[in-house]
Amino acid sequence: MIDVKSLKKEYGERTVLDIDTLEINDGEILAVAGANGSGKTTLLKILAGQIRPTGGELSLPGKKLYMPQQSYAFRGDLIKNVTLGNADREKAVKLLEKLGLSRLADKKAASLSGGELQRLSLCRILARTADLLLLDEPTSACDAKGAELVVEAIKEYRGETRCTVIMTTHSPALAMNAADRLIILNNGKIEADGPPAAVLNEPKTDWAKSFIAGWKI
Amino acid sequence: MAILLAAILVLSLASCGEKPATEATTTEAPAPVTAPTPANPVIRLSTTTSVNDSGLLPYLLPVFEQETGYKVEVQSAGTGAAIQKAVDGNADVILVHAKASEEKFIEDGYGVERLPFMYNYFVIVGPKDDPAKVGGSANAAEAFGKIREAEAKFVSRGDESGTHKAELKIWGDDAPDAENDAWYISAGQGMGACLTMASEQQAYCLTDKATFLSMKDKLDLDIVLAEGDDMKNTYSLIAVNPEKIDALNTEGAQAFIDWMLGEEASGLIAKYGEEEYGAALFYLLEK
Amino acid sequence: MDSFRQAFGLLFSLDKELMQIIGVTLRMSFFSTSISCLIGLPLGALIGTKSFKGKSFLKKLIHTLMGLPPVVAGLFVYVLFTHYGPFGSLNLLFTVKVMVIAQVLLITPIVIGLSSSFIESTSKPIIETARGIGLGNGRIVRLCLSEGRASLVSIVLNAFGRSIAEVGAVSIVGGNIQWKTRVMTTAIMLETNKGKFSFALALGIILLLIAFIVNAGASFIVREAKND
Repeated sequence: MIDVKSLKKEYGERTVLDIDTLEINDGEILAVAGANGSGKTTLLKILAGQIRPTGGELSLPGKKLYMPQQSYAFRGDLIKNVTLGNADREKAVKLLEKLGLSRLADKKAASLSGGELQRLSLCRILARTADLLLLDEPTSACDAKGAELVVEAIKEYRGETRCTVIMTTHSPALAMNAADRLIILNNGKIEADGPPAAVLNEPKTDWAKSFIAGWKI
Repeated sequence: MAILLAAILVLSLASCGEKPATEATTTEAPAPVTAPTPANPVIRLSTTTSVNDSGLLPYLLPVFEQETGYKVEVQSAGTGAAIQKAVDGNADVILVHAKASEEKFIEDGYGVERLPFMYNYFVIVGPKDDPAKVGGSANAAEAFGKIREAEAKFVSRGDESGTHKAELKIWGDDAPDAENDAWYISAGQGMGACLTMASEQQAYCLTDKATFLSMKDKLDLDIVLAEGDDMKNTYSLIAVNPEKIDALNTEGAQAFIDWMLGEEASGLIAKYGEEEYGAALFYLLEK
Repeated sequence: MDSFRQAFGLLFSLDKELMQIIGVTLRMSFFSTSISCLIGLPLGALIGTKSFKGKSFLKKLIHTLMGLPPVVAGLFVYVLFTHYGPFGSLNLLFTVKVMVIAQVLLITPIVIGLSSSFIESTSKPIIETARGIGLGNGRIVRLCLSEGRASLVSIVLNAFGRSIAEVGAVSIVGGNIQWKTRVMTTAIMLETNKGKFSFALALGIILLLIAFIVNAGASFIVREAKND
């Protein structure tokens, strides 16, 4: 179980994250939504160990993988990108196929479009094993078809490994289709928390109501 | 970083204590111009560093400019470059000190007439204890012989300036060779830089007296030989030939030459340096 | 035209003094560039990746020093190494060594500035991605180096270009001594002062030629590296 207590991140006077308590069950897929600057990416980066919180307690599983919002195309072809740092080649080939990239497998990664690159980046994550996946907006650059492939791949991976997945998103569709649970952040605080359908259909506060009303479905 | 900042501070303080730079290319008239402005008021004077750096021109030019309404733009460089600038059509008149080059300049048709008008002496400066015992030599050639024998360090201009040419003439046919004679340092720089180098390396150096006196306080050197028949340094004025070079200010050049050779300038030149160094730096040639 | 003919004539005649000057120039530029990069690249990487107190001040300072006039660097080193200066006893004034020291002072801030902004813009996503898939620090450094090869080479070439083209600092501390500390730029200055403008221009052409060969060599290396 992931356990977060009184987690805070401040930049000078500005508090960007302020979470009293957040517990995430093993094997759960959690979607984190919220406006730009609400603290989604900060939360993810803290959990990934990329930045240090100002204060608070964290209890996390040992092995985690993190996919940043900006995917990076390393030198070389797609296979080389996925297997980077000795991941299994056979697995890589399968994953590329699953995410609709097999016909590009021997092309240079630098030649991919944004959506293709994002899927490549996910392959790079899914080719490895971990207890926790942290994905920063994994479908932001994908079209509908691409997003569908991403959702399927994430769910399948979770099914096989029983790992926990936390992903940020601006897409209600992704939250509805992939997540078991949805939280919405507002100015660094958790404003709504529950099963995606419940959060989206029965908002509990006025702020949540107006946020969801403005959220494109 | 702190050291760097401190050093910059020290540098800036040190430079405050120095005399204002004498290199100003145009000198401002201290009072309103009294003479009517000539049709072509700009005279381009190409001269050697020694005349300008010694302070002589910054001392003379304001008077000339105020009296005549001309404006003199001074370009100072080694004699070689000073002459080349005139050949390239970038000067109206030159003031240099290298007889052979001057004669060639006229022979090639670039100069109208060579007008020698003042002189001073080259001096040999060196370490205060004079390790090669140069002092008391009859002339510069003898002094150079002693330096060569002792293989004492010697800084040469090495830049084909008037001073360098004078030095080579003193060495005669058998000038030292910078490649093989380690004591002979061919610096390829101006007089000031060479004197500084000689001071740093405790070396001998042939210099014009004016530049040495104007820098004396900052140098760890003394004059070891001040006089000799082979140490005379003659300065000449030459107007550039309008038949060879176009777009010259010939009228201005002539006005400048006339003024420089006139009584007032002669009086000023003869007095220059007395106040500051206790002795005149330039002497007038007998007319 | 005359200068071009003279430049090639000089080069092909393998003039002994010219070869010696080219040798000193290359030796000086090689050491200035190497030392500046050895100091500047790690510092640039550190500044580019770490956040710490006073970082923005430090960056401003570095950017100021990037524009340090060569004569000022030369003067500063001169004051340090002059006979009665703090390091006068080392007897380094008017040697190639002290020219390298002055150039290192001049070039290191440029290397730090360029490499820190390169690391900030290019290496951050590499580091994020590589750390995200659990790669070790050694591996990440190697990835950054190999991904940023072209930029790194261009930083090194920038340093080299500055070094080989610089005249203010080296003439003050080196003294332009024939057969000893004369480099291409101070030789050009000298010939200009002599009034031998076309010969000076010929030397300038040779200097450009050297710079071009070094640049071409470096871009060849980068292209080879890209193909693997």
